[in-house]
Amino acid sequence: MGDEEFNHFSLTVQELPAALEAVLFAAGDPVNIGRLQEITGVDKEVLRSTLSRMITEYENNPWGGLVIRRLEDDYVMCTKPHLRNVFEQMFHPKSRPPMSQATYETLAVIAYNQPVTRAQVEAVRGVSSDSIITRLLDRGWIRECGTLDAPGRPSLFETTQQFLMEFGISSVSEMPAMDLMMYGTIRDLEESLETAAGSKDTRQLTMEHLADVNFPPGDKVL
Amino acid sequence: MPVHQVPELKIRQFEGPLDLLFHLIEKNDIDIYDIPIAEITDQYLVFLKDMDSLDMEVASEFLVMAATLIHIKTRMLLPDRKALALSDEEDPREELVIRLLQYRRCKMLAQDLRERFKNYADSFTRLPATPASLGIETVAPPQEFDPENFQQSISAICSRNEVRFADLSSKITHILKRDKVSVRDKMKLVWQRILSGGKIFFHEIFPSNDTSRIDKITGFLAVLELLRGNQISAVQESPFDVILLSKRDDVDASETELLNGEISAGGKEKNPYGR
Repeated sequence: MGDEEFNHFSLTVQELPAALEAVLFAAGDPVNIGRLQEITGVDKEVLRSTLSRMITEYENNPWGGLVIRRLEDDYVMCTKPHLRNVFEQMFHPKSRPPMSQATYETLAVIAYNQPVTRAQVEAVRGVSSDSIITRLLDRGWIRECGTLDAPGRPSLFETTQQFLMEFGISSVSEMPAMDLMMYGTIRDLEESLETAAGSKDTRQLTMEHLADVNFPPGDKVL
Repeated sequence: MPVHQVPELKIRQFEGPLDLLFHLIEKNDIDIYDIPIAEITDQYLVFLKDMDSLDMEVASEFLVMAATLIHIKTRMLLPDRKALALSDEEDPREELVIRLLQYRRCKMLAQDLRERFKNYADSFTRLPATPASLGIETVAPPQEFDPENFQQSISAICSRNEVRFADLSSKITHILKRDKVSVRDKMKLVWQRILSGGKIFFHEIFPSNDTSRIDKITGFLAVLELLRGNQISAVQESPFDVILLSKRDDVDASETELLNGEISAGGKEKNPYGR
């Protein structure tokens, strides 16, 4: 796509929010930032900041039933998640069977360490996770993303855009690797916890403390 | 050391040995950094005794942990560890503690995901619009074919192949490195992914940039086969645009099992693209 192609059509900053809203409404599916650039003729950085402002506006608008969400480099318009009860009245959906604890555990290991192999998942959970991985693949939350260059060439797994969508996550960068996997000794672990918490006594660790180490504040807020 | 009461629970409720161990530690209010190994091992073994009708695979995982615990216990029993020139930091429990901490974090993140799913899963998008569905007729831009570019690409491929095939060892490594992927498997994979989402983009079949050539070829053939079988439709709005693959409306989702048969029937025993 040459630059000349854009030059004759470019939206002003004032026109941009309305245009983006219209595009996202018409598209339905997530739209890539590159495509938005082609359509509007506006620089990606400007698009990003405009969209991020729009996301906040939508979120905080008590009159609106729609939100805009970022999924990595894609943007999508969807209904506000808490309107679930309205749709229940509208469609009377079947209640879906709850996912097992094991499913979420496996998903957590994959999401926070991607890309990972089956063996790495099993190392954390201590049990064979094959059938659950198959279920996650079927569910469309994870996918194979190549093979590890190691004996046996094991498959690597990563999460999908559908996963980001259904779990309200904007980017996998919000899900830092489980650092615990990298500590050789408890001492290493404690040192890093101390640095993170800025306190001396890490023996009194609670789950929340442990969470804070790798969750930047804000990301955990649902 | 106070005698803790053994919690009455059935082993089936646990996801695995770590889950059970973690439960014992929480139940007894034990400091995870200072586990009374003897006691925990005893309690763990009591649980193990109680499980009578578990399948081998699950049971073996629990047994491995039991062995680990007993191993740690014996190392703790060694009379004078310092005399054996073991430094203080080499606590035999350390590895276990790290695994438990890992698992605890995993459980916690799993809980977080569960909450998120509850909160976000019921957000809906519109069905994607195509120009046709909006009643818009589009102008297809003219095909651009640059003979010079084409010629260049050809010669690039030729020279690359020349180098590769001249060197016998690199040729053999190349062949040995190749994965075997059958078109039939790829078809199943693509079809399942289309079914689960209703549609996928063509490029999503090749998730990473380093998708191997054999994967690309079989993936492409699989799409062609599915098109030929009228299972899916492929829509591209303009040249070089993304290609949307979707299930054909007249194909019933209940034909999922049917298709499995169909694929094997279409693929026959001697699938021409099998390897």
